[in-house]
Amino acid sequence: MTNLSKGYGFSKALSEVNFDIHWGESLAVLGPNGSGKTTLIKMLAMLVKEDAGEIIISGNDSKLSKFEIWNKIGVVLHQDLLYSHMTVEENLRFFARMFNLKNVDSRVRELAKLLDLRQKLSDKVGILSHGYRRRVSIARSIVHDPPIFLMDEPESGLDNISQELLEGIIDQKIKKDGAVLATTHIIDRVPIWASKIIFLNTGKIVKKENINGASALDIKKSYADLFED
Amino acid sequence: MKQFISTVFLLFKKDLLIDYRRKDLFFSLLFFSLLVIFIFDYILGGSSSVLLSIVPALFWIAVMLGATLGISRALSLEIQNGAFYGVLLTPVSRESIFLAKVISMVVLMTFMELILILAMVILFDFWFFNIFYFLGGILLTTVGLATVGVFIAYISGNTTVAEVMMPLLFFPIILPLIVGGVEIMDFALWGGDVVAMYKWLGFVFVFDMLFITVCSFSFGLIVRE
Repeated sequence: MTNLSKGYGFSKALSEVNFDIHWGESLAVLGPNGSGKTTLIKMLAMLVKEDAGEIIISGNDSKLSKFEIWNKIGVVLHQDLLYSHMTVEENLRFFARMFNLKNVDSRVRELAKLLDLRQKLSDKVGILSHGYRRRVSIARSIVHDPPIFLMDEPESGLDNISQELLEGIIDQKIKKDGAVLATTHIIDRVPIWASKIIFLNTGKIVKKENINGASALDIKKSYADLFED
Repeated sequence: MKQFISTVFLLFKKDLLIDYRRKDLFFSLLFFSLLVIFIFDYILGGSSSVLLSIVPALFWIAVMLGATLGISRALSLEIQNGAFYGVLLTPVSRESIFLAKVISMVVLMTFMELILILAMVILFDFWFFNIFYFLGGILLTTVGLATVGVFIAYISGNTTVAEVMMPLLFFPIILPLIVGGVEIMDFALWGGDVVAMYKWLGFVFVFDMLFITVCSFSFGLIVRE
Protein backbone atom coordinates (compact mmCIF):
# COMPACT_ATOMS: atom_id res chain seq x y z
CA MET A 1 0.00 0.00 0.00
CA THR A 2 1.25 3.47 -0.89
CA ASN A 3 0.59 6.78 0.88
CA LEU A 4 -2.68 5.55 2.29
CA SER A 5 -4.68 8.16 4.21
CA LYS A 6 -8.10 8.20 5.79
CA GLY A 7 -9.86 10.75 7.96
CA TYR A 8 -13.17 10.81 9.81
CA GLY A 9 -14.31 14.43 10.03
CA PHE A 10 -11.40 16.42 11.40
CA SER A 11 -9.50 13.45 12.85
CA LYS A 12 -6.97 11.49 10.80
CA ALA A 13 -7.32 7.72 11.23
CA LEU A 14 -4.41 6.93 8.88
CA SER A 15 -1.84 9.29 7.45
CA GLU A 16 0.39 8.41 4.48
CA VAL A 17 0.90 4.78 5.45
CA ASN A 18 3.31 2.82 3.24
CA PHE A 19 4.31 -0.83 3.47
CA ASP A 20 4.72 -3.98 1.42
CA ILE A 21 4.02 -7.54 2.39
CA HIS A 22 5.32 -10.36 0.22
CA TRP A 23 4.15 -13.93 -0.32
CA GLY A 24 5.32 -16.15 2.52
CA GLU A 25 5.42 -13.28 5.01
CA SER A 26 3.32 -12.63 8.07
CA LEU A 27 3.06 -9.09 9.37
CA ALA A 28 2.01 -8.11 12.89
CA VAL A 29 0.59 -4.63 13.36
CA LEU A 30 1.07 -3.31 16.88
CA GLY A 31 -0.11 -0.07 18.39
CA PRO A 32 -2.20 1.42 21.19
CA ASN A 33 -5.98 1.88 21.00
CA GLY A 34 -6.97 4.44 18.38
CA SER A 35 -3.76 4.06 16.41
CA GLY A 36 -5.62 3.15 13.20
CA LYS A 37 -5.19 -0.65 13.20
CA THR A 38 -8.87 -1.46 12.58
CA THR A 39 -9.17 1.22 9.89
CA LEU A 40 -6.11 -0.27 8.20
CA ILE A 41 -7.65 -3.77 8.08
CA LYS A 42 -11.03 -2.43 6.92
CA MET A 43 -9.35 -0.43 4.15
CA LEU A 44 -7.40 -3.46 2.96
CA ALA A 45 -10.70 -5.40 3.00
CA MET A 46 -12.29 -2.54 1.03
CA LEU A 47 -14.98 -1.93 3.63
CA VAL A 48 -13.64 1.58 4.14
CA LYS A 49 -12.79 3.90 1.27
CA GLU A 50 -9.39 5.55 1.29
CA ASP A 51 -9.17 9.35 1.02
CA ALA A 52 -5.84 9.09 -0.77
CA GLY A 53 -3.28 6.46 -1.67
CA GLU A 54 -3.18 3.15 -3.44
CA ILE A 55 -3.75 -0.46 -2.41
CA ILE A 56 -2.46 -3.22 -4.67
CA ILE A 57 -3.24 -6.76 -3.56
CA SER A 58 -1.78 -9.63 -5.55
CA GLY A 59 -1.39 -7.35 -8.56
CA ASN A 60 -4.97 -6.04 -8.36
CA ASP A 61 -5.72 -2.37 -7.78
CA SER A 62 -8.40 -2.02 -5.10
CA LYS A 63 -10.14 0.68 -7.13
CA LEU A 64 -10.49 -1.49 -10.24
CA SER A 65 -10.54 -5.16 -9.25
CA LYS A 66 -12.60 -5.50 -6.10
CA PHE A 67 -14.05 -8.92 -6.88
CA GLU A 68 -10.61 -10.41 -7.60
CA ILE A 69 -9.38 -9.05 -4.26
CA TRP A 70 -12.37 -10.33 -2.27
CA ASN A 71 -11.71 -13.76 -3.75
CA LYS A 72 -8.13 -13.62 -2.48
CA ILE A 73 -8.60 -12.29 1.05
CA GLY A 74 -10.03 -13.83 4.19
CA VAL A 75 -11.01 -11.26 6.80
CA VAL A 76 -11.55 -11.58 10.55
CA LEU A 77 -12.83 -8.42 12.29
CA HIS A 78 -13.79 -7.63 15.90
CA GLN A 79 -17.37 -8.61 15.11
CA ASP A 80 -18.00 -12.24 14.13
CA LEU A 81 -19.73 -11.35 10.82
CA LEU A 82 -22.11 -14.28 11.29
CA TYR A 83 -25.88 -14.73 11.33
CA SER A 84 -26.79 -15.59 14.91
CA HIS A 85 -30.18 -17.12 13.95
CA MET A 86 -28.51 -19.61 11.61
CA THR A 87 -26.58 -22.72 12.68
CA VAL A 88 -22.82 -23.03 12.30
CA GLU A 89 -23.30 -25.30 9.29
CA GLU A 90 -25.88 -23.00 7.66
CA ASN A 91 -23.54 -20.03 8.08
CA LEU A 92 -20.57 -21.86 6.55
CA ARG A 93 -22.68 -23.23 3.70
CA PHE A 94 -24.16 -19.80 3.00
CA PHE A 95 -20.74 -18.10 2.81
CA ALA A 96 -19.28 -20.96 0.77
CA ARG A 97 -22.08 -20.49 -1.78
CA MET A 98 -21.52 -16.73 -1.80
CA PHE A 99 -17.99 -17.52 -2.97
CA ASN A 100 -19.51 -19.82 -5.57
CA LEU A 101 -17.67 -22.91 -4.26
CA LYS A 102 -18.55 -26.17 -5.96
CA ASN A 103 -17.55 -28.60 -3.20
CA VAL A 104 -19.54 -27.01 -0.37
CA ASP A 105 -20.17 -30.22 1.63
CA SER A 106 -16.56 -31.34 1.74
CA ARG A 107 -15.29 -27.82 2.46
CA VAL A 108 -17.66 -27.43 5.43
CA ARG A 109 -16.58 -30.83 6.80
CA GLU A 110 -12.93 -29.91 6.30
CA LEU A 111 -13.31 -26.60 8.17
CA ALA A 112 -15.29 -28.23 10.98
CA LYS A 113 -12.43 -30.70 11.44
CA LEU A 114 -9.73 -28.04 11.17
CA LEU A 115 -11.30 -25.79 13.82
CA ASP A 116 -12.77 -28.61 15.90
CA LEU A 117 -16.36 -27.53 15.29
CA ARG A 118 -17.85 -30.93 14.43
CA GLN A 119 -19.92 -31.12 17.63
CA LYS A 120 -21.26 -27.60 17.08
CA LEU A 121 -22.35 -27.74 13.44
CA SER A 122 -26.07 -27.94 14.22
CA ASP A 123 -25.97 -25.30 16.99
CA LYS A 124 -27.22 -21.79 16.28
CA VAL A 125 -24.37 -19.27 16.34
CA GLY A 126 -26.33 -17.10 18.79
CA ILE A 127 -26.07 -19.70 21.56
CA LEU A 128 -22.35 -20.42 21.16
CA SER A 129 -19.73 -19.17 23.59
CA HIS A 130 -17.58 -16.24 22.47
CA GLY A 131 -14.62 -18.55 21.83
CA TYR A 132 -16.59 -20.87 19.58
CA ARG A 133 -18.10 -17.92 17.71
CA ARG A 134 -14.56 -16.70 17.01
CA ARG A 135 -13.66 -20.15 15.69
CA VAL A 136 -16.69 -20.11 13.38
CA SER A 137 -15.75 -16.59 12.31
CA ILE A 138 -12.25 -17.81 11.41
CA ALA A 139 -13.79 -20.75 9.51
CA ARG A 140 -16.06 -18.31 7.63
CA SER A 141 -13.08 -16.14 6.69
CA ILE A 142 -11.16 -19.04 5.14
CA VAL A 143 -14.12 -20.88 3.62
CA HIS A 144 -12.87 -20.03 0.10
CA ASP A 145 -9.26 -20.89 0.99
CA PRO A 146 -7.87 -17.41 0.30
CA PRO A 147 -4.09 -16.95 -0.03
CA ILE A 148 -4.21 -13.73 2.02
CA PHE A 149 -5.41 -13.53 5.59
CA LEU A 150 -6.33 -10.15 7.19
CA MET A 151 -7.18 -10.25 10.87
CA ASP A 152 -8.10 -7.61 13.42
CA GLU A 153 -7.16 -8.93 16.87
CA PRO A 154 -8.28 -12.46 15.99
CA GLU A 155 -7.08 -13.87 19.33
CA SER A 156 -9.57 -11.81 21.38
CA GLY A 157 -11.70 -14.23 23.39
CA LEU A 158 -9.81 -17.32 22.21
CA ASP A 159 -8.59 -19.87 24.74
CA ASN A 160 -5.13 -21.46 24.41
CA ILE A 161 -6.38 -24.38 22.30
CA SER A 162 -8.20 -22.07 19.86
CA GLN A 163 -5.18 -19.78 19.71
CA GLU A 164 -2.95 -22.71 18.80
CA LEU A 165 -5.46 -23.75 16.12
CA LEU A 166 -5.31 -20.24 14.70
CA GLU A 167 -1.50 -20.20 14.74
CA GLY A 168 -1.56 -23.55 12.96
CA ILE A 169 -3.77 -22.05 10.22
CA ILE A 170 -1.44 -19.06 9.87
CA ASP A 171 1.55 -21.41 9.70
CA GLN A 172 -0.12 -23.47 6.94
CA LYS A 173 -0.95 -20.28 5.02
CA ILE A 174 2.67 -19.11 5.17
CA LYS A 175 4.01 -22.55 4.19
CA LYS A 176 1.71 -22.48 1.16
CA ASP A 177 3.28 -19.11 0.22
CA GLY A 178 0.31 -17.09 1.36
CA ALA A 179 0.48 -13.82 3.28
CA VAL A 180 -0.91 -12.85 6.67
CA LEU A 181 -1.49 -9.43 8.20
CA ALA A 182 -2.88 -9.25 11.72
CA THR A 183 -3.28 -6.60 14.38
CA THR A 184 -2.74 -7.81 17.90
CA HIS A 185 -2.35 -6.81 21.53
CA ILE A 186 -0.85 -10.13 22.62
CA ILE A 187 2.84 -9.46 22.06
CA ASP A 188 3.93 -12.75 23.72
CA ARG A 189 2.62 -14.75 20.74
CA VAL A 190 3.95 -12.46 17.99
CA PRO A 191 7.35 -14.21 17.52
CA ILE A 192 5.52 -17.54 17.06
CA TRP A 193 3.64 -16.48 13.90
CA ALA A 194 4.97 -13.14 12.59
CA SER A 195 8.01 -12.47 10.41
CA LYS A 196 7.71 -8.67 10.36
CA ILE A 197 6.25 -6.02 12.62
CA ILE A 198 5.02 -2.51 12.09
CA PHE A 199 4.25 -0.18 14.96
CA LEU A 200 1.39 2.21 14.37
CA ASN A 201 0.63 5.35 16.36
CA THR A 202 -2.00 8.04 15.66
CA GLY A 203 -2.40 6.74 12.10
CA LYS A 204 1.30 6.76 11.21
CA ILE A 205 3.87 3.99 10.98
CA VAL A 206 6.46 4.87 13.61
CA LYS A 207 8.70 1.82 13.23
CA LYS A 208 9.11 -1.25 10.99
CA GLU A 209 11.26 -4.23 11.90
CA ASN A 210 11.92 -7.83 10.94
CA ILE A 211 11.53 -10.42 13.67
CA ASN A 212 14.88 -12.11 12.86
CA GLY A 213 14.83 -14.21 16.02
CA ALA A 214 13.68 -11.35 18.28
CA SER A 215 11.98 -12.56 21.45
CA ALA A 216 8.66 -11.37 22.85
CA LEU A 217 10.69 -9.47 25.44
CA ASP A 218 12.57 -7.55 22.72
CA ILE A 219 9.28 -6.65 21.02
CA LYS A 220 7.76 -5.57 24.34
CA LYS A 221 10.78 -3.34 24.93
CA SER A 222 10.39 -1.74 21.48
CA TYR A 223 6.68 -1.25 22.20
CA ALA A 224 7.38 0.31 25.59
CA ASP A 225 10.03 2.63 24.14
CA LEU A 226 7.62 3.86 21.51
CA PHE A 227 4.34 4.12 23.38
CA GLU A 228 4.92 4.23 27.13
CA ASP A 229 6.24 7.23 29.01
CA MET B 1 -27.00 -12.82 -15.34
CA LYS B 2 -27.52 -16.40 -14.16
CA GLN B 3 -24.94 -15.81 -11.44
CA PHE B 4 -26.70 -12.57 -10.44
CA ILE B 5 -30.09 -14.28 -10.13
CA SER B 6 -28.69 -17.21 -8.16
CA THR B 7 -26.96 -14.79 -5.74
CA VAL B 8 -30.19 -12.82 -5.25
CA PHE B 9 -32.03 -16.10 -4.62
CA LEU B 10 -29.39 -17.32 -2.15
CA LEU B 11 -29.53 -14.06 -0.17
CA PHE B 12 -33.33 -14.01 -0.30
CA LYS B 13 -33.50 -17.61 0.97
CA LYS B 14 -31.19 -16.69 3.84
CA ASP B 15 -33.37 -13.68 4.76
CA LEU B 16 -36.53 -15.78 4.62
CA LEU B 17 -34.99 -18.40 6.93
CA ILE B 18 -33.93 -15.72 9.42
CA ASP B 19 -37.33 -13.97 9.27
CA TYR B 20 -39.02 -17.33 9.89
CA ARG B 21 -36.83 -18.00 12.94
CA ARG B 22 -36.98 -14.42 14.21
CA LYS B 23 -40.74 -14.19 14.41
CA ASP B 24 -40.50 -11.05 16.53
CA LEU B 25 -39.86 -8.88 13.47
CA PHE B 26 -43.00 -9.97 11.60
CA PHE B 27 -45.22 -9.82 14.66
CA SER B 28 -43.96 -6.42 15.81
CA LEU B 29 -44.64 -5.10 12.30
CA LEU B 30 -48.12 -6.64 12.24
CA PHE B 31 -49.17 -5.65 15.77
CA PHE B 32 -47.90 -2.12 15.31
CA SER B 33 -49.96 -1.71 12.12
CA LEU B 34 -53.02 -3.30 13.72
CA LEU B 35 -52.67 -0.96 16.68
CA VAL B 36 -52.81 2.06 14.38
CA ILE B 37 -56.09 0.74 12.88
CA PHE B 38 -57.59 0.09 16.33
CA ILE B 39 -56.58 3.54 17.56
CA PHE B 40 -58.32 5.20 14.59
CA ASP B 41 -61.38 3.01 15.12
CA TYR B 42 -61.50 4.05 18.77
CA ILE B 43 -60.89 7.77 18.09
CA LEU B 44 -63.61 7.92 15.44
CA GLY B 45 -65.97 6.12 17.80
CA GLY B 46 -66.73 3.27 15.45
CA SER B 47 -68.53 5.59 13.04
CA SER B 48 -68.64 3.25 10.06
CA SER B 49 -69.41 5.89 7.39
CA VAL B 50 -66.38 8.00 8.34
CA LEU B 51 -64.14 4.95 8.73
CA LEU B 52 -65.19 3.43 5.41
CA SER B 53 -64.36 6.64 3.57
CA ILE B 54 -60.83 6.62 4.93
CA VAL B 55 -60.08 2.87 4.74
CA PRO B 56 -57.44 3.22 1.93
CA ALA B 57 -55.64 6.10 3.68
CA LEU B 58 -55.83 4.35 7.03
CA PHE B 59 -54.45 1.13 5.54
CA TRP B 60 -51.44 2.84 3.94
CA ILE B 61 -50.67 5.00 6.99
CA ALA B 62 -50.61 1.85 9.13
CA VAL B 63 -48.39 0.07 6.59
CA MET B 64 -46.08 3.07 6.26
CA LEU B 65 -45.57 3.35 10.03
CA GLY B 66 -45.12 -0.42 10.38
CA ALA B 67 -42.64 -0.47 7.51
CA THR B 68 -40.58 2.30 9.09
CA LEU B 69 -40.29 0.29 12.27
CA GLY B 70 -39.79 -3.10 10.60
CA ILE B 71 -37.27 -2.21 7.90
CA SER B 72 -35.02 -0.16 10.15
CA ARG B 73 -35.13 -2.86 12.85
CA ALA B 74 -34.36 -5.67 10.40
CA LEU B 75 -31.35 -3.87 8.96
CA SER B 76 -29.98 -2.35 12.15
CA LEU B 77 -29.70 -5.84 13.70
CA GLU B 78 -27.83 -7.09 10.65
CA ILE B 79 -25.46 -4.12 10.70
CA GLN B 80 -24.90 -4.26 14.47
CA ASN B 81 -23.87 -7.93 14.62
CA GLY B 82 -21.65 -7.45 11.59
CA ALA B 83 -23.24 -10.18 9.45
CA PHE B 84 -23.84 -7.55 6.79
CA TYR B 85 -20.07 -6.94 6.54
CA GLY B 86 -19.56 -10.67 6.10
CA VAL B 87 -21.74 -10.46 2.98
CA LEU B 88 -19.94 -7.33 1.77
CA LEU B 89 -16.65 -9.27 1.91
CA THR B 90 -17.85 -11.75 -0.70
CA PRO B 91 -17.34 -11.20 -4.43
CA VAL B 92 -20.97 -10.53 -5.32
CA SER B 93 -22.44 -7.38 -6.85
CA ARG B 94 -23.78 -4.83 -4.39
CA GLU B 95 -26.93 -4.61 -6.55
CA SER B 96 -27.72 -8.27 -5.84
CA ILE B 97 -27.37 -7.68 -2.07
CA PHE B 98 -29.74 -4.72 -2.28
CA LEU B 99 -32.34 -6.43 -4.48
CA ALA B 100 -32.42 -9.55 -2.31
CA LYS B 101 -33.10 -7.43 0.76
CA VAL B 102 -35.87 -5.54 -1.08
CA ILE B 103 -37.52 -8.80 -2.22
CA SER B 104 -37.44 -10.28 1.28
CA MET B 105 -38.95 -7.08 2.72
CA VAL B 106 -41.67 -7.13 0.01
CA VAL B 107 -42.60 -10.72 0.95
CA LEU B 108 -42.68 -9.90 4.67
CA MET B 109 -44.70 -6.71 4.19
CA THR B 110 -47.18 -8.22 1.69
CA PHE B 111 -47.89 -11.06 4.10
CA MET B 112 -48.46 -8.52 6.87
CA GLU B 113 -50.67 -6.33 4.62
CA LEU B 114 -52.93 -9.28 3.73
CA ILE B 115 -53.53 -10.00 7.42
CA LEU B 116 -54.07 -6.30 8.06
CA ILE B 117 -56.70 -5.93 5.32
CA LEU B 118 -58.43 -9.08 6.54
CA ALA B 119 -58.65 -7.51 10.00
CA MET B 120 -60.04 -4.30 8.46
CA VAL B 121 -62.66 -6.22 6.44
CA ILE B 122 -63.84 -7.92 9.64
CA LEU B 123 -63.70 -4.74 11.74
CA PHE B 124 -65.29 -2.29 9.27
CA ASP B 125 -67.50 -4.73 7.34
CA PHE B 126 -66.77 -3.98 3.66
CA TRP B 127 -65.84 -5.93 0.54
CA PHE B 128 -63.87 -5.17 -2.62
CA PHE B 129 -65.23 -3.79 -5.86
CA ASN B 130 -62.29 -5.51 -7.62
CA ILE B 131 -59.88 -7.63 -5.58
CA PHE B 132 -57.33 -7.99 -8.43
CA TYR B 133 -56.76 -4.24 -8.60
CA PHE B 134 -56.36 -4.29 -4.85
CA LEU B 135 -53.72 -7.06 -4.98
CA GLY B 136 -51.89 -5.42 -7.88
CA GLY B 137 -51.98 -2.05 -6.13
CA ILE B 138 -50.60 -3.28 -2.82
CA LEU B 139 -47.86 -5.29 -4.55
CA LEU B 140 -46.67 -2.34 -6.66
CA THR B 141 -46.86 0.14 -3.78
CA THR B 142 -45.09 -2.27 -1.43
CA VAL B 143 -42.22 -2.72 -3.90
CA GLY B 144 -41.68 1.06 -3.88
CA LEU B 145 -41.97 1.26 -0.09
CA ALA B 146 -39.47 -1.57 0.43
CA THR B 147 -37.01 -0.17 -2.15
CA VAL B 148 -36.88 3.31 -0.65
CA GLY B 149 -37.11 1.94 2.91
CA VAL B 150 -34.18 -0.48 2.57
CA PHE B 151 -32.02 2.18 0.92
CA ILE B 152 -32.72 4.81 3.56
CA ALA B 153 -32.42 2.30 6.41
CA TYR B 154 -28.85 1.52 5.26
CA ILE B 155 -28.00 5.23 5.09
CA SER B 156 -29.48 6.00 8.49
CA GLY B 157 -28.19 2.73 10.01
CA ASN B 158 -24.65 4.09 9.89
CA THR B 159 -25.58 7.23 11.82
CA THR B 160 -26.01 7.69 15.56
CA VAL B 161 -29.55 9.02 15.09
CA ALA B 162 -30.94 6.17 12.96
CA GLU B 163 -34.39 6.17 14.63
CA VAL B 164 -34.94 9.86 13.83
CA MET B 165 -33.18 9.88 10.47
CA MET B 166 -35.23 7.00 9.01
CA PRO B 167 -38.70 8.65 9.14
CA LEU B 168 -37.28 12.10 8.34
CA LEU B 169 -35.87 10.86 5.03
CA PHE B 170 -38.39 8.09 4.34
CA PHE B 171 -41.75 9.89 4.69
CA PRO B 172 -41.17 12.82 2.28
CA ILE B 173 -39.85 10.52 -0.48
CA ILE B 174 -42.66 7.98 -0.27
CA LEU B 175 -45.48 10.51 0.06
CA PRO B 176 -46.34 10.47 -3.70
CA LEU B 177 -46.20 6.67 -3.65
CA ILE B 178 -48.63 6.51 -0.73
CA VAL B 179 -51.00 8.89 -2.56
CA GLY B 180 -50.86 6.54 -5.57
CA GLY B 181 -51.46 3.50 -3.34
CA VAL B 182 -54.48 5.19 -1.72
CA GLU B 183 -56.00 6.13 -5.10
CA ILE B 184 -55.61 2.59 -6.50
CA MET B 185 -57.06 1.05 -3.35
CA ASP B 186 -59.94 3.54 -3.37
CA PHE B 187 -60.89 2.29 -6.85
CA ALA B 188 -60.36 -1.36 -5.85
CA LEU B 189 -62.77 -0.90 -2.92
CA TRP B 190 -65.48 1.37 -4.24
CA GLY B 191 -64.97 1.58 -8.02
CA GLY B 192 -64.87 4.89 -9.95
CA ASP B 193 -62.85 6.36 -12.79
CA VAL B 194 -60.92 3.44 -14.32
CA VAL B 195 -58.75 5.72 -16.51
CA ALA B 196 -57.60 7.73 -13.50
CA MET B 197 -56.85 4.47 -11.68
CA TYR B 198 -54.68 3.23 -14.56
CA LYS B 199 -52.80 6.54 -14.50
CA TRP B 200 -52.06 5.99 -10.83
CA LEU B 201 -51.00 2.38 -11.51
CA GLY B 202 -48.63 3.71 -14.19
CA PHE B 203 -47.30 6.35 -11.82
CA VAL B 204 -46.58 3.81 -9.06
CA PHE B 205 -44.92 1.47 -11.60
CA VAL B 206 -42.65 4.28 -12.87
CA PHE B 207 -41.84 5.28 -9.26
CA ASP B 208 -40.83 1.66 -8.54
CA MET B 209 -38.65 1.32 -11.64
CA LEU B 210 -36.97 4.67 -11.04
CA PHE B 211 -36.11 3.98 -7.41
CA ILE B 212 -35.09 0.34 -8.00
CA THR B 213 -32.63 1.54 -10.64
CA VAL B 214 -31.26 4.54 -8.75
CA CYS B 215 -31.08 2.82 -5.34
CA SER B 216 -29.51 -0.41 -6.70
CA PHE B 217 -26.71 1.42 -8.44
CA SER B 218 -26.13 3.85 -5.55
CA PHE B 219 -26.11 1.09 -2.94
CA GLY B 220 -22.45 0.20 -3.56
CA LEU B 221 -21.49 3.78 -2.74
CA ILE B 222 -23.36 4.03 0.56
CA VAL B 223 -22.23 0.72 2.07
CA ARG B 224 -18.55 1.69 1.99
CA GLU B 225 -17.55 3.97 4.87
